[in-house]
Amino acid sequence: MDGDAYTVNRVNGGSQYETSDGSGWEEWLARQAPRLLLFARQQSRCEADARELVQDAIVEAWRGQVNGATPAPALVFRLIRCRAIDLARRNDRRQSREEQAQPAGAPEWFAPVIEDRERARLLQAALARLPAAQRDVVTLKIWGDLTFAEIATALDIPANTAASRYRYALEALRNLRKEEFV
Amino acid sequence: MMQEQDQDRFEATLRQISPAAPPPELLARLRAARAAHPPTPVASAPATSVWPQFRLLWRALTVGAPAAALLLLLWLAWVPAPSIENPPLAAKPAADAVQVGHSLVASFDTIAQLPGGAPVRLRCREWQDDIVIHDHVHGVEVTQTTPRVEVIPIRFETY
Repeated sequence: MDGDAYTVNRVNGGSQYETSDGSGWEEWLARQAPRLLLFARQQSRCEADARELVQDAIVEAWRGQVNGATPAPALVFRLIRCRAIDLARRNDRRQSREEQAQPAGAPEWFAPVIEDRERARLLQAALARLPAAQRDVVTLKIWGDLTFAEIATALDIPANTAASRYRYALEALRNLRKEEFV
Repeated sequence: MMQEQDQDRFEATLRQISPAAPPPELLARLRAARAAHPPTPVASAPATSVWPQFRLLWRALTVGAPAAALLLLLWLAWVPAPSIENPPLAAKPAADAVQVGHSLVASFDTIAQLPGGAPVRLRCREWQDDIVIHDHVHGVEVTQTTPRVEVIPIRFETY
């Protein structure tokens, strides 16, 4: 094995060992951080909470790895979801107040090129209207790049359920915004 | 329902719109958090996870070794010596490197009830302990993988 190359630990579902100069970690962060933040934004009620969720999940997952290995994305998505549930329980009393405040300062979920800006805005609105269970699956599949088995692990549901929710979500998205996406 | 070809095309369309990049402030926080918590080296496993295995091994040795010696003496006394010479025994392998690693496999929370009816939240983590013993002289590598579940009770907050 090349000394500076990192290897894929297939036993742990996609963990990677970083190089001695930390470039493995930087590559992982550049690739995964947008996906994780997108998922966290959908799981939380405000931008600050979403950023906290991403940070807590990455640090917790990373500290569980050996020798600086980067964690499996499915594990980090799962941690984000678990911590979001904890946060929602703690913040239950603030829910209505924050939900009312959310639309004015809501961040953009997607980073489109100029000509896709309108489509991105419509997509964000369509996703927001989906049932949360379907939105979670379609987000992890399309933008999280997870398999149905990994989605099942992340969301603690059977893989068949993940697949059927995904089909329903795609159908709903397509029906909602057919003229813009086709 | 969508045809498979239509679904592929629609998925490709969705993937063209990529998630927004995280703000630099968040990336800076993540890098700072990583710098504040250095990675766990392979050989520096917590003593709490190795000590029980060592104690078990030590207990087995202290109890088993005298008994094994007694049985060996009895066997030597009863069994006649073989007429032909035994072939020389192979050199015993000797471990010259031991690595102990831990991987976090899963993390989830659950809620249980105490006998009095009060709820308590349990934070559960599934770990995988990997012990690798190398004998570079003889080219032997022994790997042992053990699953471990860590359950931490947390007071359930009431409002």
